[in-house]
Amino acid sequence: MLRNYLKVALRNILKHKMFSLINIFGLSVSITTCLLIILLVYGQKRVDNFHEKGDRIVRVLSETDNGSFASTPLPLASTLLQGYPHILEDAVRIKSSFVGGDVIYDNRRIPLAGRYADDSFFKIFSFELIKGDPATVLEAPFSIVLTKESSEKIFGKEDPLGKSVKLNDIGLNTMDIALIPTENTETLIDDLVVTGVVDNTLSSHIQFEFLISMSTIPSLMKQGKSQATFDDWENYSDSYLYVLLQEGKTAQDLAPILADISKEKYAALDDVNISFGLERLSQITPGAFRQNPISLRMPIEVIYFLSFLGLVVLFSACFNYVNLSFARFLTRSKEVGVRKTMGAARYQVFVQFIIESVIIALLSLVVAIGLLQVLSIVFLDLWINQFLILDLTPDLMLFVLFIGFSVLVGGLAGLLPASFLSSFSPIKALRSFSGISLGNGKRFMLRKGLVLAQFCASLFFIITTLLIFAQLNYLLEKEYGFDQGNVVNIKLQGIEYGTLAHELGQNPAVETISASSFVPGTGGYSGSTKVKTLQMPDADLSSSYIGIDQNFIPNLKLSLIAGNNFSASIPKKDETMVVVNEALAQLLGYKEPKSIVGETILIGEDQSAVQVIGLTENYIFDLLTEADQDEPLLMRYLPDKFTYMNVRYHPTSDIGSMLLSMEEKWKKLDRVHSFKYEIYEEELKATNSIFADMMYVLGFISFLAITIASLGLLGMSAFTVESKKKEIGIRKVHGAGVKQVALWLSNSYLWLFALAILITIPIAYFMNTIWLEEFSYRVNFSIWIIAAGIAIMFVLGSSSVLSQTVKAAMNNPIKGLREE
Amino acid sequence: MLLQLRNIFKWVNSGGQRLFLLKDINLNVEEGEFISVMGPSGSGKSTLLNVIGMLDNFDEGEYEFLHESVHALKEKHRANLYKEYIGFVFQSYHLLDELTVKENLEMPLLYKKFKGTERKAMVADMLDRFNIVGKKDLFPTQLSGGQQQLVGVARALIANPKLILADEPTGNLNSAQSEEIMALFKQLNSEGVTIIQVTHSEKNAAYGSRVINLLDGRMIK
Ligand SMILES: Nc1ncnc2c1ncn2[C@@H]1O[C@H](COP(=O)(O)OP(=O)(O)OP(=O)(O)O)[C@@H](O)[C@H]1O
Ligand SMILES: [Mg+2]
Repeated sequence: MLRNYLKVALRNILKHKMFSLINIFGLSVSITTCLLIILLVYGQKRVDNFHEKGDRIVRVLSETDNGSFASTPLPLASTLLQGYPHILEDAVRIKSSFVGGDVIYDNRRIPLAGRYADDSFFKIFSFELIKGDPATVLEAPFSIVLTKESSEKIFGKEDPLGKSVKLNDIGLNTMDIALIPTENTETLIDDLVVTGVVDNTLSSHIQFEFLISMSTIPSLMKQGKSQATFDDWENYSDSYLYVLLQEGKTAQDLAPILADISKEKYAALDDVNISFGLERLSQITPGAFRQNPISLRMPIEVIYFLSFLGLVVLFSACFNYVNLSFARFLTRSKEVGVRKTMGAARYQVFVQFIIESVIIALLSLVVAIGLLQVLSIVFLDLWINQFLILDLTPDLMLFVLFIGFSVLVGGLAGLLPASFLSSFSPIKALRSFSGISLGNGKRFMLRKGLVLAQFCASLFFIITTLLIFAQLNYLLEKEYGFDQGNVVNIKLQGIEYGTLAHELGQNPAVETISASSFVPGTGGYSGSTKVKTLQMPDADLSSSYIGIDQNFIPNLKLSLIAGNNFSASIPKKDETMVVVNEALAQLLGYKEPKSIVGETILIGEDQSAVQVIGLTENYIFDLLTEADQDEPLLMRYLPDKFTYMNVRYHPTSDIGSMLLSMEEKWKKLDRVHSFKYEIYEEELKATNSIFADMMYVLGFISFLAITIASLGLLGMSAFTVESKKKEIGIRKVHGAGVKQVALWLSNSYLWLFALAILITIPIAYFMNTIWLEEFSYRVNFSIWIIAAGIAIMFVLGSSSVLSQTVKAAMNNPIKGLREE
Repeated sequence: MLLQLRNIFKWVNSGGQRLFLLKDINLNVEEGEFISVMGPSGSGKSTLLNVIGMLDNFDEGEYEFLHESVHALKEKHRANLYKEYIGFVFQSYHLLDELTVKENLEMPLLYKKFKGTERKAMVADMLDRFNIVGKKDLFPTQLSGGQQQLVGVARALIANPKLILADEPTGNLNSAQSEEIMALFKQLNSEGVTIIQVTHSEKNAAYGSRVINLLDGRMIK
C-alpha cells in the first residue's frame, strides 16, 4: 500500500513539474531558514552542557531597582558557605572586572585577558585541566592557570608549569569589542606562577584566556595595587557567584535563605535594596539578559526575533503550499472519486495526500541542507556574530531533529488540502470532474479566495520590507549633528592631554585638536548626574554629561546657538561653568531654550552651582539605536576625565603619513602602549554596521518571502489557466484572438488585486506602526511607501499572471479541447 | 434474493421546491440476473445505479442488500458491504492516469486488504483473461478507448464481485468494441455474476434478461 502511495506521489510530482518546483523551492528556502534557527538555538543549548555537576550549579543574581544583575556583593559567598553547609556544597566567586593586558615572559609580550576566580572553580565547573591539580591550581596567591591556547602563545612548546610571568594589567577584556572604554590606569602584577593549563574549547558562557587565584587580590591590596571590597555589601557589581548545591537540594531550598540575608543586610538601609535571585546553569544560555553580564551573549530576545522571522518565512511557504495544493488537488478530484468507488476509505485517501505532502517536504529538506551549507558561511560572517557564542557544527541528534521538523511541516501543510479532498463523496468528486465543473460556484469561489489571499500576503510583505529598508536607511544616513569628517580620535591611554596635544599638534596636517571624555555616537559614556535649578529645587532630572575642553565645540563644528564656548583661560579646577543642549534647557522648564544662558543650575549629588554659559543644538551622543530625540546633555570642562584626543586634519592631507609620524611621536612618549586611533567617520559606520547586518538578514528574509509569494501567484495563475483550457479552446475556435483571451483571463485578477489593496493596506499600516514607534528616530510611514509597494506588487503580479495567460491564449485551441 | 428496493424516493430542493430524481422505485433483483436500465436522458438512470451502488443516498424508502438493511447501516458498514460485493464500470472509464494498466487493476485490491502475492496472481489472471498482458505496463493515455474500457471492466471484476454496475459501459465505443464488452458481460453472467447496466441501445439491452424503463425518475412497465 505504502509503495503504491509513494509511486503515485512521485509520478504526480514529476507530472506537475512546475507546481512541484515552486513548492519544493519555497519549502526548501524556508526550511533552510528554520534549520538555521534550529541550529542556532541548539548551539545555544549546548553551551555549558559539559559540566558534570551542572544540574546542581546555580548562579546568584542581584535584583535591584536598576534591573537584574548577574553580579553579587563579594561577601555573600562566605556568608552562605559558613551559615548553610547543609544546603551548599561549595561556591565560587569570579571577579567581574577583567584583569588583562600584556603577559610578559622573557622578551615576549602577549596581550591576554582573564579573571580572578576562587580555588573552587575547577571543583565546581568541569573545565578540563590538561596540567595541574583541580583541587589546588587556584589556591596560592599569584597562581595563574592558562588556557591551552594562551600557553602556546606565550611558551610555545615549552612546559609552562612552574614558570613565572608578569602581567601588565590595563583592564583588557575578552569581550573584544571596543564599545566599552577600558581603564586608563595600569598595574604591573609581578611573578605570577603558572600552576595549570586548561582546555576551554567546549563552549561556555564563562570566557577567559587565563585565571588568576582570587587570593592574589589581598596581596595586591597590601602592595596598594588593588582596591577590592571584600566586605562591602552595597557593591553588587564586583563579582559573580556560582554555588554548588548539596545532592538533593534545589534552588527553592536556597531562595528563602537568600531572602533572609537580603533582609538582614539591607532592611536598615534607605538607598540600597537588593534582593537575590537564582538562575540554574542551564537557564543562563540561552537566557534573559542580565545587567553587568559575564560575557556578551545572544539575548534570548534575539532568538525570539529570529525565530519569529523564521516562522514568517515558513508560514509564507506553507501558505503557498496549501494554496497550490488546493489548486492542484482540485484537479485530482477524479482520482479521489475513482479510488473511493474502488473501496478506499476516507482515511486512506487522506493518508495518501499527506504522504505526498511529506515527500515534498523531505525533498525540500535535501535541498535545504545544501542551501544551509552556503547560508551558514554567510551568517557566520555577520558582524553581530562577534557577540554570540555560536556553534554551528552539526551532529546526529540535529539530523533527527531536521527530519522530524520536515515531516511535521509536510504534515501540517498537507493537512488542510488532504482533509478537504478526502471528504469528497465519490459521486461529487466524479461529477465535479466532468463538464459541469466549470460552473461549480463553490470551487470558483475557493479559487478566487486563494488568489486573493496570495495577493494580500505578497502586498503585505512588500510594504513591510520597503518600510524596514526605509527605516534602516534613515538610521544609517542620520546626521549626528556634528561633523565627523576628517577627524581622527586618539586614545590617550594615560598620557597627559596637554603633552600629547603639544607633540602631535606640530604636524602640518593637523588643523585643530580637542579633548573629550568619550567620543559621541560610539557607545562611550562618562556618567550621568542630577540637575536642578534654583527655581525648581525638586526637579527630578538626570542628565548625561561629557567632559570636553574649550576646543571641542568648534572642532566638531557643534552649533552653538546662544552664549559662549568655554574660554581659553578657564581654570582647570573648581567647575563654575557649563554648556548645555537644548533638550536640557527645555526639560528644566525653559520654554525659550536661549533664556537658560546666564542662569545658574545645580548639578551632582552635592548640588554645586554652575553657570550656564552656552547652549548648543541637540546632537546625537548615544549609540544611534539607543539615542532619544530629546536627551539632555551637559558639556562640562573636566580635564581629569579626558580620555580621547580629537584631531581634525586638513581634508587634502595624506592621513597615512600623518598617522605614521604621529605614531612615531607616540612611541617616544609611551613605550608601553601602542598607538590607538580610530578614523571617526569609519568608526561610526562600523558602530552602525548592526543596521547593515539587520538590513542583510531582513533583506534576505523578505526576499525569500516575496519570492515565495510571487511563485505562489505564478502557480495559481498557471492552475487557473490549466483549469480553463477547455473554455479557452472553445473561445478560440469561435474566433477570439490572443489579446482578447489573455485579457479575459487576466480581467478577474484586476478586481482581486483591487480588493487585496483595500484589505491589506490598513492591516499593513497598523502592524508596521507598532514596531516603527519603538524607534525614537524613525521615518515617516508615507503614502509613497504604500504606493511603491502597490506598484511593485502590480509589476510582479501582472508579470506572473500575464506570462501564464498569454501562453495559454497562444496555445493551439484543439489541444485544449482534446485533453478533456 | 440479492437486493430489494422498496418505495425509494430521492429528491433535491431547488428554489423551495422538491425536485424528484427518483419516485417510488420498487425493484427486486435475484442473483444471476442481467438487467438493463433504459430511459431518455435525464430520466434518473445514473441516479438509480448510484443508489444501488450505495454511492449516493436516498431520502425515503427501504433498501435491502443480501438481507442487510442498507438504509439503517452506518456509513462504514455500508462501505464494507459495497467493497466486498460490488464492482463499478464507468461510462468514461475513469482509469487513473498516473498508474499503469497493471497498477490500475491492482488498485481496488489494495483497499480490500489482499496480500501481495495474492494480488499479483489475481492481476496476472485478469490480464490473461482480457488478453491485455502486452499492455500491462502502459499508461491509460497510451490505450485506445476500447482498450481503456476493457481495463475498466477488468478492474471492476478483479475482486470477484457478486454484482456489477455498469453506467453506459459502451457509450464511447464503436459497435465492434461494444459487442466485445457485451459478450464479456454475457459470459460473466453465465458464470453467476449479477449485472445491472444502463444503456441507450436496444441491441445492448437485448443481452440482458430483463429491461427496466425509467421516465422522470419513475419506473414504467
Ligand atoms: N445533485 C443533483 N442536483 C440537482 N439535480 C440533479 C442532481 N443529480 C442529478 N440531477 C438531475 O436528476 C436528473 C437525472 O439525472 P441522471 O444523471 O440520473 O440522468 P440519466 O438518466 O443518467 O441521464 P443520461 O442518460 O443523460 O446520463 C437530471 O435531470 C439531473 O439534472
Ligand atoms: Mg447517466
